[in-house]
Amino acid sequence: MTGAELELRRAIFASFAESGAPPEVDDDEALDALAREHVVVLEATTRRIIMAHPFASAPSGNALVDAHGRSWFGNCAWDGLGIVAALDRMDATVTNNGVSVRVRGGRVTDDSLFHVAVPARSWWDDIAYT
Amino acid sequence: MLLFQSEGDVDRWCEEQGCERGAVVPVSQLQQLAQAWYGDRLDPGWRPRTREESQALLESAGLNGEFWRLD
Repeated sequence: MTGAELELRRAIFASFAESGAPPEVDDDEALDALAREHVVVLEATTRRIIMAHPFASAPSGNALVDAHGRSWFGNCAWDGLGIVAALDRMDATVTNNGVSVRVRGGRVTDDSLFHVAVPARSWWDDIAYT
Repeated sequence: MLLFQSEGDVDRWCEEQGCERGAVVPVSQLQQLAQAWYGDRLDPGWRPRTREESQALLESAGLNGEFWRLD
C-alpha cells in the first residue's frame, strides 16, 4: 500500500467507527487501489463505499450491531461480531436474519448457528452473498 | 452468511432457497474467528493479509477442510 492508500484506509475506518458511515473521498486513484485489494467494496455505478470489512454502509448492511445506544452495520453476523471486536466492545447485540446474539463481558451468551452458503474460495465472486 | 436458531431452521432456509446446505458454525466459534479476523482492523498500520495468513486464521478458529479453502 502507498502512503496515500494507507492514509485513506485510516480515514475510512475512522469514519465508520465514529459515525457508522464512510467519508466523502476525493482520491479516486487510492480508492480504486483499496477496492482492488478488497479493503473496500464500491457500489458499481455510484462508486460509493458500501463495505469496508467489517463495516457496511446502512442500506447494504444485513447485520445490525447495537452497543450502548450506538449502532453500526456489517454485511453479516461474522462482520457484526467483527465490529464488536474491532471496537473492543465488551457488551453489544448483533442482529441478523431475525436472530439476535448478545455479547456480555466480551463473550457471546447465545447458542445460535451461523450458516455459510458459499465455499471460501468463492466468497469474492459476490461478496454481498456468501 | 446468516444466523439461525437451529439446524432445522438452516435446513428449511436451504430448501426454500433451493441451495445446498453449506457449513454451519456455532456462534461461539464464529466469535473466535471474528476476534482473530477483525480484532486489529482499526490499527493504523493494518495491511491486507496474504491468502496464507487468512487461511491460518480460519484454521486457528477450527475451520478446516475443503469448504474453508481460500485457494
